[in-house]
Amino acid sequence: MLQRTIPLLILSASGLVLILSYFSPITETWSEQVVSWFNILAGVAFVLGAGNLLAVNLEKISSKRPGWAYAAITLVSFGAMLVVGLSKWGSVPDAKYPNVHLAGSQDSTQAGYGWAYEYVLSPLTATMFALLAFYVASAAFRAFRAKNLEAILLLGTAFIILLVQIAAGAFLTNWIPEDSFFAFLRAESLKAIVTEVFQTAGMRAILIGIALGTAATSLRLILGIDRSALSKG
Amino acid sequence: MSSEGMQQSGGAPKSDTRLWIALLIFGAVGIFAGKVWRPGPLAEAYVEVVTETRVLAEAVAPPAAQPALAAPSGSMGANAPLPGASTSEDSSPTRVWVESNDPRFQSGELRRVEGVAPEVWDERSRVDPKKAKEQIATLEGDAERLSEPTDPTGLTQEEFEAREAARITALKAVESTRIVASPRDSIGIWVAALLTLGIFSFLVRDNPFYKVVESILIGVSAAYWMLVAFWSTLVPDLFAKLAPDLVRATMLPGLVESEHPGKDFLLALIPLALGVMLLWRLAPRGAWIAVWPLAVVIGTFAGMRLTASIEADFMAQIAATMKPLVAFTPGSLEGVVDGSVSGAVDGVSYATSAQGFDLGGTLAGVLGVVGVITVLVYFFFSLEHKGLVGKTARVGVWFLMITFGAAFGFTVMGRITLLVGRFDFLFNDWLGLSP
Amino acid sequence: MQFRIPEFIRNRAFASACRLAVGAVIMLAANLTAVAAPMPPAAENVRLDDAPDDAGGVLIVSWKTPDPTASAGIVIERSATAAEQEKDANALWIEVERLGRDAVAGVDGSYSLKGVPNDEDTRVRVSILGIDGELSEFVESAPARPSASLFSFKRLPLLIVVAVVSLSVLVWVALARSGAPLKIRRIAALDAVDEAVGRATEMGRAVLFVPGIQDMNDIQTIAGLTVLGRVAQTAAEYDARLEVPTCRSIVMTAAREQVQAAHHAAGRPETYAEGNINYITDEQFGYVAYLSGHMMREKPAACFYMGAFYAESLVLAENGNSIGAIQIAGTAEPSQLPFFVAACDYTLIGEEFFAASAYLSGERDQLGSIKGQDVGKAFAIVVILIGTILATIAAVDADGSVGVWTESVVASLRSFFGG
Repeated sequence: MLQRTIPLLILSASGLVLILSYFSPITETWSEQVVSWFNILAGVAFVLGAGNLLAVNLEKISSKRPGWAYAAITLVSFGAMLVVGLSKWGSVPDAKYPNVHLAGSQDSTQAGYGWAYEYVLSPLTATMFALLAFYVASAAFRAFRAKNLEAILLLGTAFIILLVQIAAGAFLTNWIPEDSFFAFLRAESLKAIVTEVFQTAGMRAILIGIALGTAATSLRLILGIDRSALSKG
Repeated sequence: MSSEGMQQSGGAPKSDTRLWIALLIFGAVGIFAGKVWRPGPLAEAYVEVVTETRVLAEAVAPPAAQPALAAPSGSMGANAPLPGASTSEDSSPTRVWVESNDPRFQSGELRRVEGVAPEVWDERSRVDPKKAKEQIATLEGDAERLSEPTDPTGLTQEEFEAREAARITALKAVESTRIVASPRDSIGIWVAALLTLGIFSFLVRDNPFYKVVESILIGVSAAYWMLVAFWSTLVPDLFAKLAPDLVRATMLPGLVESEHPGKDFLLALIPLALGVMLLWRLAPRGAWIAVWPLAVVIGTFAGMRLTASIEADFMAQIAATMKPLVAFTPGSLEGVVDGSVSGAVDGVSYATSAQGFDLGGTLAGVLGVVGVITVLVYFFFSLEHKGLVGKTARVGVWFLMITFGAAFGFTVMGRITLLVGRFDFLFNDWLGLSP
Repeated sequence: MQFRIPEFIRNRAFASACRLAVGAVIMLAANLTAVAAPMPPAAENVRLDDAPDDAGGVLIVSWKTPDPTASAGIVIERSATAAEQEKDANALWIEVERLGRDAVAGVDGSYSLKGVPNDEDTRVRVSILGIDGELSEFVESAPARPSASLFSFKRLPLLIVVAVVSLSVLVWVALARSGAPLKIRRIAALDAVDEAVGRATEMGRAVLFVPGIQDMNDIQTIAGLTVLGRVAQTAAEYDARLEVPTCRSIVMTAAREQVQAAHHAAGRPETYAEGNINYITDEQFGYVAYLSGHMMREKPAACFYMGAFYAESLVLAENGNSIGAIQIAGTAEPSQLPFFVAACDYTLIGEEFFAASAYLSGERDQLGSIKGQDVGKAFAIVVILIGTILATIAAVDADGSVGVWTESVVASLRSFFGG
C-alpha cells in the first residue's frame, strides 16, 4: 500500500492539480513555483550524485580494479574543485562587504574556482564540443555510402545548405539570371525553398506529433495506465 | 588486445607508445616552430593589478536624516521596507565599507570606525599580451620622463609649483598602474593546452592521456555543477528562506529582509521535505519513501507539459498551417514576381481582382500542406505502411529527410567554427604564433 | 522617464487658482499676440474597470482623447492606498505613469494599472498633456476594485482541445478493455530491441542505455525512463548486463527504481544490480567524454539513446558505430534527429519515441492509448484541411461575398487555435 498505491496516487493527484491549475488565473503561476521547488530538489539530490561518485571511485581504488589510478584522479579533481569552490579560496572580496569572505566573487582567474573554470573545465568542454567537426564528417561519409533515396535526400540537402552557407553556393549559381525560369536554382532561392517550404512543413508535423506524444505519455502516467515507473515489489 | 590491458594505468600497452611519440613530436615541432616564428616565451599572460582599499565608516547624521537611500516615492513598490532601515539603528548606526577617499568623509556625513583595520586586496584582470607589452613600455617611458624634476628656468615660482604638483600626480598615477606578468595564468594556459591535446588524442584512439583528461573532466565538472547548484540555488532559495539571519551574516550580507518570512519558511520546507525523502534512499530502513518525491516530480511535470505542449505545439502549429493554397502577386496583372520563395514563370497569369497568379508561391503553399499531412500520415500507428498509406508515408519520409538534411547542413559550419576556436587557442594563446 | 509635479501644483485649489490667473494672462496675451497655444481639452469618459481573466491586482484605465492632434501625452495618477495614507496623510494621489504621444494618438486610450490591492477601492485621474507641455484639467474615474476570476476564459479553446485529445485517448483505452481489435503498425526500431539485447547476451557484452542529458523536469527524460523499464525487463529476462550512466542525480534515482521494478516484473529481483546505474556528472561534455571512453573500452553490443539530447548525440552515435554496436535512438529534440538518423541503426522520431514504452509493453490499455494519439492526428489533419480549403476560397474570391465569409471563418479558426 505505502510502496505501491500511494506513489501512484501522489503522481495522479499532482498531475491533475497542475493541469487544472493552468486554467485558473489564481493558480496559473503554480507551475513556476513547482519549477523552483524542483531546482531546489535537484540541488539536494546532488548529495546522492556525489555519494555515488565517491562510492564508485573509492571502490575501484580499494579493490585495485584495472584503471584504479584514473578513479583516484577523478576523486582528487572532484575533491579539490569542491573544496576550492565551497571555501571561495582566493575570491575577490565584495566591495560593499569586504569583511564577509563568503560574499566574495570567484569568477576571475585569481580565485581557485575561476582558474579551474577558465583553464580546466572550459577548454575541456570546448574541445569535446569541437570534436564534433570530425564526427560530422564521418557521419556524412557513412550516410553517403548508404546509397538509398532517403540518405541522398538528407545529404543532398545538407550539402546545398552548406554550400550556401560558405558563399560557394552564390559563386556557383550567380550566373543564373534572376528573372529566368531557373532562378529558383540560385543558391539563395534553393536555401529559401528548403527552409521555408520543406523544413517548415517537416518541423510542423514533427512538432504536432511530439505534442500528441507528450500529451499521451503524460496521460498514461497521470491516469495510471503506465504504472511501470513506480510499481516495484 | 584485452579490454583489461587497455585499462592498465601502470605501463601503457605497446601500441600506445606510438601515440605518445606522435604527441611528443607534435609538441616539440609546435614549440620549435613557435620559437622560430616569433622568439618569445610560450603561454604569455599579463594582468593589470588594481589595489582596492575599503574602510569601515558609520553615519554621523542624526537618525532622522537617513543617508539618501530613499526609493522613488511615486513607485508602486514604495511601501516595501528599506533594507537595513530597522528600528534598532538607534543603538548601532548604519556601518558601511567605503573607499578611504570617499567624499562623504569631507562633508562630515561619515566617519571612520576606530579600531577596525581597513580591508586591502588586489584585483587582477587579464590583459592581451601584445597590448600589455606596449602599455608596459609606455608606462616605463612615462615614469622615466616624470621622475625628472621640472626645470625651473624661465618659470615663476607659482608656475613651477603647479607643474611640479601635476608631475607628481601623474607619476603617482603611472606608478599605481601595475601591469605584470602573471605566472598563474601562464601555468593555466599550459594546463589548458595539454588538456586540449588530451581530448584531441581520442581521435586517434583511446589512450592513457585521454583517460587522465577524461577523469579530470568528470571530477571537476561534477564538482562545478554542484557548486553552481549550491551557490545559486540552495543558498539563495533554500538556506536564505530557512535561516535568513545566518545566511546574511555568513554568505549573503546583501540579502533583503523578506516581507513575509514565515510564508517563505513554510514554502521552503516543502522542497526540503521532498529532498529529505529522496535522500532517505541512503537510510538502512524505509528507502521506499524515496519514490514519493519522484512521484511528485513525474506527476507535476507530466501535468505541466501536457497543457504546454498542446498549446504551444499542437494548436499553434495547426493554426500556422491554415494558409491559402494559391498565391497571387499583389497588384500585378502580368503576375509573377516573387522574391522570397522561388522563381516565377513568365506569361502565366490568371488575373483575378487585379492580381497575378503566382506559380512559385502556389507550389510552395501546396507543398507546405502536403508536407505536414504526409509526415503526419507517416506517424499514424493504426495504419500499416502499405498501399496508398505506404506511398503517402514514403513522401512524408522524404519531407523528413530534407528537414533533417537542412538541420545537418546548418550545424556543420557551427562545429567547424568551434574547432577553429580551439586551434586558435593552441596556436595563439599557447604557442604565441599570432603575427 | 518619470518626473514629479511639485506638491503645491497638485493641490487642486492652488492649481485652479493658478489656472485662473494663467488663463487671464493668456487671454490678455492672446489679444495682443494671437499665437499662444490653447490648453488641451480634458480627457473624457475616464473609466476604471477590472481586468478580465486574471488573479486580481490589475485594473484597466480607459479614456477618450477629445483632440488627439493637440495632445502630446497623458499623466495617470491613482489614489493612495490606505497603507500609504497612513504613512503620509498628504499623499492623496500618486503618479503612476506619464505616457507619450502614442497613448493619445487615437481617440480611445487605455492603460493597465498593476499592483492594485484587491480589498479596497482605487480611483484614478488623468490629465492630458498638451503639445506645448501644458496639462489639462484632471478627470477622475469612479472607484473600482480588482477581482480574481476563477476560470481563464482565454484558455477555453485550450481546455476544449485538451479535452478532445484526452477523451480520444480515454475512449480508446476503454475500447481496448472491451476487446476491440487493436492493430498497430510494426515499428522496426522497437522490434529490434529484443534482437539487440539478445545479441548482447550472446556476445557476453553489456547493453548501454543513455537516458539523455536533461533532468526529470523534461518529459523526454520521463519517456526515456519508461522505455528503460521495458528494455530492463527484456535484459532481466535474457540475463544481460544493463548499464545506465546518468547525467543527473535524480535521473539516477529514478532509473534505479525503474530497473529494479523491471527485474521484479521479470520475476528475477535477485539479479538487479544497483551498481550498474551510476551518476557521472551534470556537465554535458563531461558526460560525453565518459561515455565515449567507456564505449571504446567496454564495447557494449547494444546502445540505446532515449531522451533529450543536444550536440552530444552525434559523438555518441558515431562512437557506437565505430565499435559495431546495434544502436537504437529515440528523441523529440528535432535538431538532433538528423544525427541519430544518419548514424544509428534505428531512430524513433518524435512521436514514435513517446509511443515506444506503450508499444513495448504490449498491454491492451497502452496500445489503446496509442490509437488515441492517432485520433488526435486525424483531428489535426481534418482541421488543417478545412482551414486550408477555406483560406484558399477566401484568397481566390477575395472580393466576393463567399470569400469574405470564409475569410472570417478562417480568422476565427486561427484565433481559436491561438495563431
